[in-house]
Amino acid sequence: MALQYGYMGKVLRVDLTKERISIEPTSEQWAKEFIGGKGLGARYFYEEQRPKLDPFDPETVLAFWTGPVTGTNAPVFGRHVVITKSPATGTFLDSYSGGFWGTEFKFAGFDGLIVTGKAKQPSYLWVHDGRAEIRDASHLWGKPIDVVEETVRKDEGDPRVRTSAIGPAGENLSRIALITNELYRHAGRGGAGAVMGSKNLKAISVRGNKSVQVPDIDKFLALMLEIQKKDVLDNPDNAAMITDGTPILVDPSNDTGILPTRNFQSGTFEGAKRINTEFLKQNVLVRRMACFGCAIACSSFTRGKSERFKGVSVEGPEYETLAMCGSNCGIDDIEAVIQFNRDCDFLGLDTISAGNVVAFAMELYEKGILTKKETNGLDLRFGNIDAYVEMPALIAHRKGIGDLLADGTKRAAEKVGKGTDLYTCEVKGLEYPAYDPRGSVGMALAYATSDRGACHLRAWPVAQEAYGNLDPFTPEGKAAICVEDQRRTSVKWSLVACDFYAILYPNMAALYSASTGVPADVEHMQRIGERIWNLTRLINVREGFSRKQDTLPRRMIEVPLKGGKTDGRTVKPDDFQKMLSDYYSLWGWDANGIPTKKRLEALGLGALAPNGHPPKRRKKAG
Amino acid sequence: MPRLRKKTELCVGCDLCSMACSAHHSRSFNASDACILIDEAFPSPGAYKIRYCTQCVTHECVTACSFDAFKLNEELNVWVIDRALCVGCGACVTACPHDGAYMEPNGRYALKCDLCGGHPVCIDVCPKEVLSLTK
Repeated sequence: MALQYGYMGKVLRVDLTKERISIEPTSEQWAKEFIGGKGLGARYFYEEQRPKLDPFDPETVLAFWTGPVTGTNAPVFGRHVVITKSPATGTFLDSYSGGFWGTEFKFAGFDGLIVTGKAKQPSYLWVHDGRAEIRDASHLWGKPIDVVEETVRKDEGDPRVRTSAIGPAGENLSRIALITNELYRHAGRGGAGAVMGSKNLKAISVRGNKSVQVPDIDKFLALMLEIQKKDVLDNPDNAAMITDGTPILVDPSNDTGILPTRNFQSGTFEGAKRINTEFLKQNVLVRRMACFGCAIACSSFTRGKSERFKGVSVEGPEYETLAMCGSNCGIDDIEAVIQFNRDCDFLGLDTISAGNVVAFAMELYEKGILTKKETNGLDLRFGNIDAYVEMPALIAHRKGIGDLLADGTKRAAEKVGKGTDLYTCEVKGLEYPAYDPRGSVGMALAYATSDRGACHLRAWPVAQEAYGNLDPFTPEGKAAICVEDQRRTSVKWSLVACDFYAILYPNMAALYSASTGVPADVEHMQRIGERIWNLTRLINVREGFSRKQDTLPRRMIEVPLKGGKTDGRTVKPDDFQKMLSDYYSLWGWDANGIPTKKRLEALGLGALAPNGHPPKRRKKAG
Repeated sequence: MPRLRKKTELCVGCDLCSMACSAHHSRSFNASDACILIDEAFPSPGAYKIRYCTQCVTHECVTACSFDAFKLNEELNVWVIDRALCVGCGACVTACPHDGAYMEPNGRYALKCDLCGGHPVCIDVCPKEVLSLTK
């Protein structure tokens, strides 16, 4: 009985068009080959998503997955992943969220949820007690996420009901819309919220009365206590997350000249001291918060105190928000960032992409390419708080300039024309996060080769470059870092661990074995990581992606940074192409970035090779 | 007599206490199948509430039980629910004025802190040292 332990052994399947709900066993074979979360979700997605399908086609798969240690007391594993086709990039999309939803979903009796079809009217899904039903959501449609969560809880009369919901941004098919649970935790990047909106699915509410079993609970508890103490609480690599959380990165980014400032014009922000971790802790921090089962508790719950923003609160802002919605918009008032962050959260927008697209509009406005005629009369200069705080609502509701910006910078630049792609920083349509590659060149490769567009959570060479001891400007050795990071994070995201626990292979193997009873060593886990990264690459190859789309934005090449330690820096196209070639070679892919049949066969993926047997489309997984 | 104490202001709402409790008493994991529960209230007031039985002297739960399911651990002076005798009627949950007794998620039996025989597992697992035992 391979799936007796760790897994619930069941997948919930919902066809919104046919209003049909079914339950099937989780594939034992795929669970062994791909673990859970990212890997298992990608394997189901490969099988079931028809290639080249529009992300908004009702047939597009929208799936939610947990992993084999989700819902145990393993520290820092209280997350779930949303898997779909990204409306921002057209690639495979895996987007992760913390909080409590994933665990409660698993307690409801399932490893995964696969939604297809489109409901006739606004609907929400109620999952409880190993069952599910599709319910009318006309009273929730148009409502912000906080209202949705509270309404469902009151309707159910149970404060422990957890809800994943979209805001107006998702309903309005904004390609930067996210899916939120517990008010402030988001499957943020890549526009999963818009896919949910395209299905007329407002929310998924869950409550669980089932339990997760492990083979030997006393052994498991002893191992967890040891891991929690030695590898989580006393691990120097986690220390900053425990004391400060992600805002601690503002200072080192600013000092090393990689803090995106005024739409990536500079890597140094004169107002950094007003949005950094010290300022946050001294002025707006109310308390620390944890996701389910997390001993780190990195979240900062903050609240405004000034006359203008008094009482406005948010779980955050995280580093990415402080940078993309702070310095990158020229905003040095942390309370304005709190307001912007809160509005993005409740209206359903990804703050990384929202910060990018607002900064893009600000630069066009300052350059006279956009005028007050296009900006709803707003004086959209960098740093103008009055205009800035209006933007989330305009974007989420697609009002005026908001409609132009609601699909991200790539599509906005295409609409504006006039060579404005020079003012965007994105790969495949997903905006850059907050580590400027002109000051940490490995990040250019990390963004270009991430399987979901520009993302910092697949490879993070900046840790060794700008934040570490390696030369941040040389391309040498950076491909190897990206390959190793991507292999490791593929395993980590398949166990659905949190980024902020610097877990390495030995403990990933130990945790996996302790929860599932499946023997695993470091090599076993590494092989699974390779298999998963090749699989997501294959999915993207099937969608038509290759070297041509693994790009470096023009801005990185043509526009030098201004000021600070990175003054005058660009990324040299030759350096970038060299890293890319090295990278493909290290993965065993061809020069065009296509996994070779030989490599795939070695990983047990031979049947999925581009020139191998075409995949049979089947409804049920084996 | 040892009693469980809390410093609520240190709590981060991670539920590790509930999970350890669930594992100890039910030999599996479900955060609601626990004798210690964490509620959160965000964005306002932006705080957590920790619920568990305070082992009060009036023990309305015991009086309310018609099935003789409560047994006294004399060493600790703690009333313990015998799951074999509990029918899950919920009378103790309703009777408790301190919100210290709960129903198991499937309604099979009631849950109430028994101090794990003197060494509560929730204390060790709490990463923020919220919980402690008084002598």
